[in-house]
Amino acid sequence: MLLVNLALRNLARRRVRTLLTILGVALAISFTVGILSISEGFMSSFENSMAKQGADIIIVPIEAESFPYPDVAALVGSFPETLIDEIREISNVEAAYPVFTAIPMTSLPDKIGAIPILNGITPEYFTEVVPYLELGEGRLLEAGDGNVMVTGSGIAEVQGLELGGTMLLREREFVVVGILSPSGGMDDGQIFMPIEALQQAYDKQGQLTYVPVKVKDIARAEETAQEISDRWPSISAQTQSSILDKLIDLVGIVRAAHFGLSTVALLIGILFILSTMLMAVGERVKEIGTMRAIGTHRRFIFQLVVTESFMTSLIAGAAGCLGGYLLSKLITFIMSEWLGLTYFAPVVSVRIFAIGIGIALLVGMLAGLYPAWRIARTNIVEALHHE
Amino acid sequence: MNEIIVETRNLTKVFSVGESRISAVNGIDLTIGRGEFVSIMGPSGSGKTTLLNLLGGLDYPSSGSILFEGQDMGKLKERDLDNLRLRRMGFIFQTFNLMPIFTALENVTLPMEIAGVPRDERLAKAKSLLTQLGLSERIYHRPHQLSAGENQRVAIARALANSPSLLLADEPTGNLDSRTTEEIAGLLKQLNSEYNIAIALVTHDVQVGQVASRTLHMVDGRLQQT
Ligand SMILES: Nc1ncnc2c1ncn2[C@@H]1O[C@H](COP(=O)(O)OP(=O)(O)OP(=O)(O)O)[C@@H](O)[C@H]1O
Ligand SMILES: [Mg+2]
Repeated sequence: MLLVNLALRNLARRRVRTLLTILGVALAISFTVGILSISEGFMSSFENSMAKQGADIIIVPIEAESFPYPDVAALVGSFPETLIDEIREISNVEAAYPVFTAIPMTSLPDKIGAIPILNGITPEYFTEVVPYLELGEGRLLEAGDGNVMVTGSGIAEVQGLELGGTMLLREREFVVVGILSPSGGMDDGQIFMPIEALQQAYDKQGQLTYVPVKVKDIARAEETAQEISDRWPSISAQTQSSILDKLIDLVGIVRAAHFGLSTVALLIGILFILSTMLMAVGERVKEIGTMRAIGTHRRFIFQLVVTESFMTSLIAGAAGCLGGYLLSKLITFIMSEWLGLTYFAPVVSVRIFAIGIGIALLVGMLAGLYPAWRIARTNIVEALHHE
Repeated sequence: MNEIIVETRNLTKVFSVGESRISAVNGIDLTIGRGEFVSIMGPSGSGKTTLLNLLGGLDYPSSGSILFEGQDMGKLKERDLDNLRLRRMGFIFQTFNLMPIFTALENVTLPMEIAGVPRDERLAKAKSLLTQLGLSERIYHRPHQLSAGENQRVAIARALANSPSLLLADEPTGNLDSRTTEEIAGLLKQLNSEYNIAIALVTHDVQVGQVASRTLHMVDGRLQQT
């Protein structure tokens, strides 16, 4: 392969310049891949929890209307447990599950990830609402349980909780009876306890913060949610699908940001390689004139320059993907070691690598075309005169 | 004269720069036969380089025509003209114009590689040419590791690689000292008779011009045959 051989040797003749160019483009791609992988991690964490829940309608205190998530609900308010019996009376409601959520904020830990979200639940919550969660060791909650807990894998790791161990909560000892398998979602940061035990610990007997509801006729879920919201002004009922729609909007915004970021990396890459290639071609005018004189086709010269550009950007793309992978590992490390956020692992997916390599290929092509065209169209006699 | 390699008819090249029009080559009729060694001499600016560029298809005439081995070069597509230069002509430059990243051997194999000659064949050919030109000990040297005379010999080997029928040399000894000049001139004469290859040589050096079988004098874009 004359083309590849020539291209490689041309790149090798200015090693430092070639390496600096590769480094510049690789850095741009690394950051893109790194940041994309973090944001993918957040997205997949959402998708692995919220999107899988087996509820059709979510009820939260009216104060949490805009952010109908258990952790937000825990911080802003509660409503009386007696409502749940009335809600169950509604014709389209099949089941409603009482949840009392709390976030222990008495002393701020040095790692945010070490703050658990405490969910007071009834045993059927596991089978009906979060059936996708799998038990790692021990057991799930049972009727008649006292001060016990089942913890998500992430929070167990950060808090150093082990089966049979205890956690002190408002002067009460809770025994760990089960640890869940990692789910890759936000549930890994949750702790589940019997609802009465948690309510007592917080002196909130008879109060709820969150109620997942199953309906009989899913087609009428929206109507039912509206009915609940209208009847009890202190609570807000929203369908799971409308909550997910909001998340999907969020996904769209994040994807747009990905696109913007990739475009910036693309532009940086193009500018780097373009300036290098223009320089490289500028100092080889006479040589290329000679090649043309001895019979090399214009097209070959064009292909040669584009090949050089492609090779530079492909090496940069590969290095950038590797760099991005290492960057995401570093961020994972920082997140878990310093922040304790073990369940927000960046995702380095094939899609992200494909974006990295895709940017590299586009860069190589776009940055190579102009210098290639410029040198290939140069008049042979003029090129031979060039010093 | 025997078979004709190249023949020009009323060949003219006019350069327009601003208001002025310069007829660098002005109605030249020139015929070079197979194996003929022609030297072209004349004052600076008389159009020697321009004429050679036209003969080699590096530049296009303003009017007139060139027949190369019977083919009208003006009617060839760029690709075919490239192929003509690649396979039927060899170019030797005053400044050698070798590829600096290539060894002597690679510089000589390059035109053969472009022409699609198989690897073994081109290596054998390049080695035999370099050996013939006295460079058997220098085949892995790069241009910067070779003397001027050696570089010009590598360039000659490169010009001969695809067995052309015409060598075009524009002041090939212009950058060489007198001893090396003599050497290169003698070499060209030897190759001319050995391979029966036609040579068009532009030179300012009378001694070099004398190795040719015919000398043309160029003045103001015209030939004065002697
Ligand atoms: N590209 C060009 N544009 C305009 N004028 C040109 C161009 N090339 C050559 N000329 C003019 O054409 C004339 C002939 O130039 P050419 O280079 O052929 O001369 P030469 O005989 O080779 O001279 P020298 O012995 O100095 O090399 C000169 O007057 C030169 O100025
Ligand atoms: Mg000249």
